[in-house]
Parts: sequence; structure tokens; C-alpha cells
Amino acid sequence: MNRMSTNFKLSRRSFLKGTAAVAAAAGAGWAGLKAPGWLQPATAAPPGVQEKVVRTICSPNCWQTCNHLVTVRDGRVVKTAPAPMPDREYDRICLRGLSHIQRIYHPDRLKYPMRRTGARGEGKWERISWDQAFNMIADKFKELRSQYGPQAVAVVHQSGNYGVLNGGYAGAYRFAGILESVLASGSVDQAIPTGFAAALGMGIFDAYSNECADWVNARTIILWGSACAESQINEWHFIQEAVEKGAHLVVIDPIYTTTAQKARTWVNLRPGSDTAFALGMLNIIISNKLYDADYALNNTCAPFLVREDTRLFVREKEKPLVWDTVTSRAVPFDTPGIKPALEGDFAVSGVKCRTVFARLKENVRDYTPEKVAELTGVKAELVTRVATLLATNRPGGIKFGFGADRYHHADLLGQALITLLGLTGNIGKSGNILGMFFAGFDPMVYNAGWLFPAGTFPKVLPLIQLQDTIIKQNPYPIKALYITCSNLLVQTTERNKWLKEVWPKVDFVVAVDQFFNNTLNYADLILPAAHYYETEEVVLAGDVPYIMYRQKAVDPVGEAKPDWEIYKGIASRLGFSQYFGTIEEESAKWLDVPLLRQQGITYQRLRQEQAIRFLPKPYIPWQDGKFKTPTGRLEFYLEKKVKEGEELPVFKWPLEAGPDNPLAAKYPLTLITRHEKFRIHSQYENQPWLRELNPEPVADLNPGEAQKRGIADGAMVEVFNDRGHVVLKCRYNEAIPPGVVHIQQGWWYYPAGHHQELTHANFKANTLNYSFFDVRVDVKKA
Amino acid sequence: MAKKYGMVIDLKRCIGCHTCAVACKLENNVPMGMFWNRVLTREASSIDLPQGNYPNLSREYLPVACQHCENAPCVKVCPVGATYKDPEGRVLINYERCIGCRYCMTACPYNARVFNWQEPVRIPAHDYGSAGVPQRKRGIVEKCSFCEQLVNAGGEPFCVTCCPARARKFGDLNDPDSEVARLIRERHGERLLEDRGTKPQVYYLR
Repeated sequence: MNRMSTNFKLSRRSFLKGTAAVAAAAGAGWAGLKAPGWLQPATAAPPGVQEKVVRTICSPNCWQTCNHLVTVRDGRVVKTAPAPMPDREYDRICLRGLSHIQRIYHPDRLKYPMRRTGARGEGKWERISWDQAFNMIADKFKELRSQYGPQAVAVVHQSGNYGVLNGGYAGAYRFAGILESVLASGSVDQAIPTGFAAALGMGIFDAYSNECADWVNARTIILWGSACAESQINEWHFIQEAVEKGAHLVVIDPIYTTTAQKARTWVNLRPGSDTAFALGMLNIIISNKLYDADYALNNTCAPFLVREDTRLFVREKEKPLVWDTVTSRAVPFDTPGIKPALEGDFAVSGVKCRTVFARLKENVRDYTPEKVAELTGVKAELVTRVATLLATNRPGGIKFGFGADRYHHADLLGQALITLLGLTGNIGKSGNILGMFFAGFDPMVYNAGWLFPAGTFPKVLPLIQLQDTIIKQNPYPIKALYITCSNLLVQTTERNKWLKEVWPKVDFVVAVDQFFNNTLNYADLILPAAHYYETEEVVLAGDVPYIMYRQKAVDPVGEAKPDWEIYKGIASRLGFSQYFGTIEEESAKWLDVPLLRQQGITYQRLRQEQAIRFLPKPYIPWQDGKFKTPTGRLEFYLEKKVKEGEELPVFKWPLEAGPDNPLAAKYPLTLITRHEKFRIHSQYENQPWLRELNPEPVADLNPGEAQKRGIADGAMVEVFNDRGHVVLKCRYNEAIPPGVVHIQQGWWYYPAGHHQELTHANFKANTLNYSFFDVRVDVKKA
Repeated sequence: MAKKYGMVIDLKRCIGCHTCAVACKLENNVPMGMFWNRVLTREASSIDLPQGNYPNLSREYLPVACQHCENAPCVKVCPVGATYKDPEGRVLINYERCIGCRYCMTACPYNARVFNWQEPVRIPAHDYGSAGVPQRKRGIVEKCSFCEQLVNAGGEPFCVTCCPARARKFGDLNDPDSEVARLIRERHGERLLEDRGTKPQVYYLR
């Protein structure tokens, strides 16, 4: 490479041009910023001011759970900085975490409880006291509970906060359990992990991967539908360090993201065709014998015998059988001294059987590189290249993001990915990435005693089924919603259905948040939530191996309260105050689980140290090759999916996005609503600094697609389908493939409509997953 | 030997996330509508747009702030001596002296300086960032100071601390053993618009 700086081809003009792009938004108006109080010139800080530094945590659903050092001067937050972690490679912050002062002191911050005075969505409110608010909620809940039973109330939460008591987790569980209400919860992005974790015998959000700090030892890294250089910025440097040490980075993504730009190999496949590519990789690995036969035989279900008739394992005393080549008979898989066959057809007690591996081989036989090229639209040699890398340039790993997850049948991709990792013998080695590293939920899961102290339980309803449940009033007669840690109308699909069919059936909507976002606008009673820095509590780890504690840096702005205090206020009026002790008491009890107790992690110690490692260092699971499945093997053959013909990964086009889909003629474009760096879901949407950089929603279109429709760069367009529409500005963007329109997810408001009017809530019975990207639309001039 | 502060930015590592730009605004009490430090997408009319046609694309980010030039054109043109080179090689502004003539802005080939056209608007309204950051009022020019208030206290510029990609390094260019000097040597650090003879003290690695 020519190192001459003339390569830079920079003129003064390019600097000016760049400034214009960055600063064009400056001065763009945000509602509320015109309030005169906010335009006061800054005054000098007098010398000798009182300053303190508090360690706290930013905990939205990027799961980076960054620990922050917060400087408080004269009682106000003035700075956030990365806090030193027990392992310094986990020191972290990002542009969003640096903008918290604008969130806390935002002119639009909701400061008081408010009651709706106009029609829903009209935005007319009057301030009421907490006492009035609590009484209103308690009275309404009492009335509905006596009339329809406790399931007339639904507590609805998403992932807006990883705090234990105030986040959408343990606190909400306890509140709903005490009320015996419906608890509409659960991730809506879980198709890939559903297929993936099943083979491990793990929960979908358990700590099944090596920790991020170990990823630097990888030699092949495949980022599958993950734009982590934007969406999980603080995981990126581990990948980059691996690359600097010589790792080959493959990025699989239809869009030329910043992450794809950093890849040595970019696989720009057709949206929704990911599983075909994965099957192509399996085909190459099996037909070229690139698999790790020892590992496949000894640590996976590959040699298990499957009956041809029922497609279930042949078992003896519950144990699956394998074919022993020494004695030529079927024996339990764990019989000592045997040499199991990897492939072959055998008869066991007169029943025809084949090994799992032979069935897999047959399944992927048709997925030759040429066929995969046809399905995915990428060059055939890419299939061979990526497969060969994963199998031979070891240790390697696959990190999946949720890009490929947001299509119908993405569970099959999860199955394919775990099969790839199992057959290539990468699991349990330093440098492996096993899907995603997520450490946080273990302690919570094992503290059911804390979650449900009264012995009463909530009716857990997957969030994705909430819409239909309310419309049908079946199985639960839901009449009231209590929404927290969720901008429901921006982060779930079929917005028109919510507003036109669900909302009329609901008498009472309470929403707890920090801003008048799109969901609060349609509520009846809105309650001001405390910010991350305005309370103390235990925080669940995301992708760090720590249990953590946030300290309170400042008192809540206005009359805002932590969620826990709100639960307490409501519960005490319903006669359940005994279950809502102080944050200190309850945190200490919640932490009292074996996993933490045996490591001497107590509440006192955690409050002191604030971040304590609870996983071994380095955390590399599965080193002994034993999994949590009944056989202890990696069971990528899922007997429970025989009915669907999906016991092994197969390729199926998703509901809408496939190229030959019947909808393609009418709606030739697929809609991808990607997570970009300026928000976490819909949080930080109204942060002035972030809006200076990213001022307004745009529909990114490949210029060719736009010109076909006579749409100029910057023109207003309407993106539409049968379900709804959204109006916004078009931006020509070559990073977007033809056939796709891209809108950043998480925008609260548009000139008209909303991108969530375009999406749908169809899901597979086994995967409670919104297929946000599996959506067909067209675009026209507005 | 006296110190000569400089910065090295690894463009291979930079992911264009703007964390440095926001960190700078926070630490230095920079008002709305202004950036001391901004991340350009090379040759793009709007941030993040790539060059080329799908799928044959490229993209490069370029974070730009004051280059703290050794031969600083802004210092030469300032009629009142408000902009000066300090003993540790930084280009700084004495905000009390600045008269807002903006000659320095014209002279700067990097467009690294910003001007307070109106009373600064801050959100939140109170002063934020480190306490030692000088006040700036309407009608004066401001820019990156290599976070003078932090560096003088033994720290480093805040953009360096916060960069998630670990792309930014800071240190003494006169110390051959410093990380910045070593990186410039080993990775052939380049400077922006070298032909102008400004001798920037910010180096880029590609």
C-alpha cells in the first residue's frame, strides 16, 4: 500500500463538506428546547464548588452494562466517564452513555404523575400527586380484579433497564406475582438462540459462550447478522484485537455496515437466505471431510442412531444407541471401549436406522455452493471459503447478532450454526465465540423464592401474544395495562392493530417512563420513572462476567420515582406492602443465591466493590466437552421438532422476504429496520447531541431503486404495504442493496404513520419472536 | 527536553461511532451546534454513506479536531495574540483576548475551529464537563485543547479515554519511547495536508 499522504486526497473542501454533514442538524428544533429557561447563557462555575464522583451503571438493552463514574457538582450531574472494571479490558462507554446528562435534565423529562384530560393520543394532561396516582391505580385494579379476576390486569415490560428491582425483570415479576396478574414479558428477539441453545441444553440467554475477553484468541470470526461495531460497540474492540493478531473476519449481512466494512470477507447475502448459506457451509464441511471426526463422535449426537420410521433415537433404558464397529451391534452411546460409526444404515431389532450424521449429510447434500449461490445471491466460492475457514483456521467462532434473527424460521439458522460449531470442534477452545456472550440471567433464574414470596404466581404471557389475547379477551380478560421499561408502540409490531383493536378494549393504561414517548401519549395515567443514575440497586450483567451494583448519584428530577417505589406505592394500597421492603433489604435477599453465596458475594461486599466477577477467569465453558443435555452430548438433533420436519436444520424461505414470495410482485422491497449507533432500541431518541449527528428518520434506498420510482435524494416518500405506512425523507445510500429499504429502528415519531405499522406479529409456535425484517413494502413519492 | 504533546488516531480501528465527538462536547462544555471534534465520512455528503456502488464499496472515517500544528497558521494570523503555542506544544486560545475576528478560522486548513455566533445554548443549561474548562462567551472562537485541564492534572484527553475502539493514543512526541512516537515510527503515521507545511501533531495510522 502506498503510504504517501497524498493518498488522502483531502482538500479543504472535504473538511467543510464534512462539517456541513455533521452540523447541518445543529439548530434543528426539538420540541421543548424553545422554552426560554433552556436558552439561558451558561454562567461560570464558582471556585471551590462541591464535587463528588459516584460509580453507577448505564443499563439499557445493548447489554453492555457499562459502569460509569459520574461527576456530581453542586448536586447536578456534569460528567460521565468509564469506570475501571476488575478486568480493565471491560472498561467501557459510548456516545449514548456520554449523553446521560441530557437525558436527566432534558426539558421534556416527565417530572410528575399526570392524568389524561383529552382523548387518548391527544396529548392533554394534568399534573396530579403521587397519592392521587396510587389511589387511582389501586382503585381501578381493585374494581377490575373483583369484576374479572386478577388477570384483568397485565404488567407489561420489555428490556429498558437491566436493574434487578427497577428494571423489567425481577421487580416486575414480583409485582405481577403478588397481583397474580398477567405478566406480558420475554424477549421478542430469540429465534436464533432458541435453535442454538437447545443443542447445549441451556436457556436461550444463559452464559454459553466464552467471555468477550477471550475472543481475542480467535483465528476465524464470523459475525452473522451482527453490526456490533454499532449496536454493541464495546464488544467490537475484542474482535478488532483478534483481527490485529491475524484473525480472518467474516461478516454476513446484506447491508454494508461499518462492521462489514471492517471484514476481510463480506457475505452480502439476500435478506432471509442465511440458513441456505449455513447449509452450504455444512455441505462443504461434510463433503470435503473438514469436520472434527473425534469431536463429532465423542461429544455430539452425530453417531446416534435414528429410526427411519419415527425419526426418533433408538434407545435402551433412555440412552440413545450408537453402532459399535468393533462388535457390529447397537450399544448405548456411553459404552466403554467402543468405536462408534459416524455414518451408515443399520438394522436394530429389525428397525431400519441411520446415524444422525448420515441424515445431516443427506439433508445438506443439495446445498452445493452453486445452489446456495442461486438462493443467496452471493458467489459460490464464498460458501467454500467461509466453511473452510471455520473448519480449518481454528479456533474460530460465530457471533450471531439479531439481524438474521428477525425472520420467520430463524430458529433453523440457530440450529445450523450450533451444528457448524459442533462439527468443526471449535467449542470449548480458547478463542471460540459460541453465538453470543450473555452472562446476566443465571442468578435471577435460580431465585424463584425471591420472585414469588407469597406463593402466588403471575400468568406469564409471551409479549408477542399480548395483542391477540386482548383482542380476543382470551385466555385472559385483560382490561388494564401497566407498562414499564418499554416503549411498547415503537418496539412491537402492528401498531395500527394496537391502536385500533387493542386500545379500545383496554379501560386503563398506566405507563411508566422518563419522556412523553409514543407509548405514553396513548396512556391514561403516566408516571415519571427515575433515571439509571437516580437510584441504587443490583444490575444484571449483560456481556460482562460480573454481578454489579449501581449507586445513586443524584436524587430523581422532579417527583420521579424508581420503579420499585412505584410498585410499593400501588401494592401497599392493595394490602401487599409486606412484600416490598427497602431496596437494600430486597437486594440483599435477591443476591442470596447459591451461585453467589459460595463465592462469598454478599450484599455488603457488592455495595462496596460494585463489580465482582462471578464467572471463572477466563470463562471458557464446555472445555470438558460435556453439555447440559440429557446425554451430556451436543444434541443438535432435536427430537421435539420431528413433527415439523425440523429435527435437523433445513432451509425454508421466511413468510414475506423470500424473492419468490407471492407478495413480491405487489411489494418488491423488503424493509430492514436496523439498530444503529445513535440509540438503544428507542432509548436516547430525543438526546440533543445525538440528534445533532443523526437529526431525523430517513428511508435509505439504493439509488437505483429510488430512481426507478422517480424519487430524488432527499425527497419525502411514503413506505407502505397493506398493513400501514410511514412518511419520511428518502436518502440515497449505496450501502443498501437493491430490493431493500432501510429505516433505523426506534424513532418515536414520523411526519405521518410509523414503521411499526408495516410490521407483523406472525411467529412460529416454538419461537416467540417478532420477525421485524420479514416484511415486504413498496416506496413511492409522498 | 520539553514535552511536545501529540495524538495518534488509528483509522484501521476507528468505527466512526462519534463517541469521541460526544465525549469532547461533554468534557469541554461545548454548546449545541458546535463540535470541537467531529468524525467525517470520507467523501460523503452525509455521515456513513459509502463510496462506490453496491456491493463494491468502501468507507473510511476520519475524526478531525485541532491538529495542534507545530507551524500553526492560526497562531500567525491572530492579531491579538489570543491563539498561541504553549511550552508543551499545544495550540491554545486565551479566550479573554479573543476578539472574534475569525482570521484563525480562515487560516486553519482543517476547519477545526468553531465560532460562537450567539449566546451559547447548552442542554442541560448548567455548565458540564470538568470544572477547569475555561468559559467562552458569544463572539469568540473555540476549539480542542487536547483537554488541557485533564492533561495538566496528569490525565489524557477525554476522547482518548472514551474511544470504544481504543483507536486514539496521546503522549509526548519528543519522547522516542512514548507509545505515540513508537506508533508513528512503526506504522508510518501520516498527517493531514502535509503539503501545507503546517506540521500537525496529530498523526493518523491507516
